[in-house]
Amino acid sequence: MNHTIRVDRNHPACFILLLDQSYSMSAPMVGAAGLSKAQALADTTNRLLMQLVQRCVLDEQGPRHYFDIALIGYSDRITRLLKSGDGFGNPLVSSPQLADSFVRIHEEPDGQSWPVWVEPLADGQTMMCAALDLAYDFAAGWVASHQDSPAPVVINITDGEATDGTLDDLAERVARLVGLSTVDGPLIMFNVAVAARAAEPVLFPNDAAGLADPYTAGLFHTSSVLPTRMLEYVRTEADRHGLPRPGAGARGFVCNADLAGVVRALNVGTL
Amino acid sequence: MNAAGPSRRTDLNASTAFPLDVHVYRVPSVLERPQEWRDAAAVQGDRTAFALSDGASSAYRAGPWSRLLAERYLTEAPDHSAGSLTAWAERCRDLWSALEEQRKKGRAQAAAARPDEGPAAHHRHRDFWLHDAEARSVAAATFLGMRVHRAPEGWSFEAVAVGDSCLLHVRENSLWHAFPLDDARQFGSHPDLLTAGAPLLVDRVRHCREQLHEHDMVLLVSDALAEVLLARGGREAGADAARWWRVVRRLDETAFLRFVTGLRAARMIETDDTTMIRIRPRATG
Repeated sequence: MNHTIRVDRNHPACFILLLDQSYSMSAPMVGAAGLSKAQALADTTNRLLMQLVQRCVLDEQGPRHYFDIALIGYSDRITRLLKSGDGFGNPLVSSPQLADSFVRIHEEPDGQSWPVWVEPLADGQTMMCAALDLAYDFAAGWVASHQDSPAPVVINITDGEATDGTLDDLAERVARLVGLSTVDGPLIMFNVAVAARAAEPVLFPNDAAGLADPYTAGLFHTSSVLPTRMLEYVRTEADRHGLPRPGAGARGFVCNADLAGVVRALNVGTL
Repeated sequence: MNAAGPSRRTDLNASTAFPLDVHVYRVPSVLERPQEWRDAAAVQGDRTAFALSDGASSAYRAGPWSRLLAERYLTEAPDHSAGSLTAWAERCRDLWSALEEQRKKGRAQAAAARPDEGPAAHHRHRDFWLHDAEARSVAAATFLGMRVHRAPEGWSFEAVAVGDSCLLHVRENSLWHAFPLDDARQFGSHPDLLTAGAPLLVDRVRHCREQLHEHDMVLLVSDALAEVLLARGGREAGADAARWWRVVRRLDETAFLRFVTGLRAARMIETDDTTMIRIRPRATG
């Protein structure tokens, strides 16, 4: 199969987000005036979670169980950022549980507001390999019991290099992850490299040529080729925003990501 | 009028009805939850008008909106001119607003009459999402309407469409004409929609007019089934296409359920609400 199963309560989706919470995330975020990367990423994640729950509210019965999700923060340690699932060892949180577990409502001066599940954090090292190990455990358990569901999606958002392994270690872990599959196809891996300074974002490239350094190229190679429906979506969005059209073989990879780039990657990954 | 009902053959007085056999079939997305059906199918009592509307899967209360559109197309009978259709859509939106206002008022009164449920976090969270949905969302649906005319030169029909619900016109077991999409590759995830939140844009409305022959079959179908029928029964499908139309021509309620669930099991069709109105001129003589 080729990533075409439609989500419903019998076939929920699975999203696993890995958020870099290391010290370097305290630096300013490109494209988000006055906000640190950590704050911008927390806001973006909370708004994404809100949108995901909104998609599940179709009538007065409240949110339907259309997806399971885990948020894994990584710095000196690995943290589950959402309240645990069903209390029976399920590490993923269902959409109704997510809807029921935000801790407060954030209100902006301009009147925008959103529920808050995740607070910003920027401290310590970048234990990305350990985070990928935990993502593997979560995803492996999930696919074992959801073979008829869409393939899981893992989105890793980072602004630096792993401090607990080499690029090869990282690639090995991602290879294990994308070796997981449902009948819909293999797990889909996204990497988002947040910009250290203002630079032209590279959105969904299909070629590593021109990427700044071997590490960035390594993240490209550990990102999945976009399935057709995601590719169609990013092309439509590119046309709408006057951006270059991603070519055939475009990958779930964004580098030099400003805030808008992070949002685009999350929107595509959680399509 | 037979609107939004279960699969059935229309049971009308043959002396006043148009000489057409009309069947409405549906299979909900989740078999055990037919009450969540977001499509709507409506058939005028004299079998001269038909409507099929497919509530957008991501929209809040899309099912009631699609039912309102289908029903009002029959009761208000807009002609298919731009002015008449936009005026009809505006009346639908006005009625929808009034009904939604009434519904919200009723819900608020019911909540006020309930004994205090206390500050349980679950209720606070649930209310947040429902209020958010009420404030944010706009009901939306595709729409396909068809009227049959009898003229001295024979029968004809006119149809209008917004979005990807399709009319498939079959003659001698081959696809004669498909409308508004005529190729399975044209289906996407963002069809045009008729929404409760904005006026109908005339350039989104597609029109067609065709002659209807005695042995023709016309199908009004929601997108998932239309896509597979166009792929398997279209002009590029080859010799096997006729077999698909022969099967569809003979389906009854039980066979339709088996047909759709079989396609789903074979992953040839998306698991979505699936609706079909089948219209066949009744053989004369």
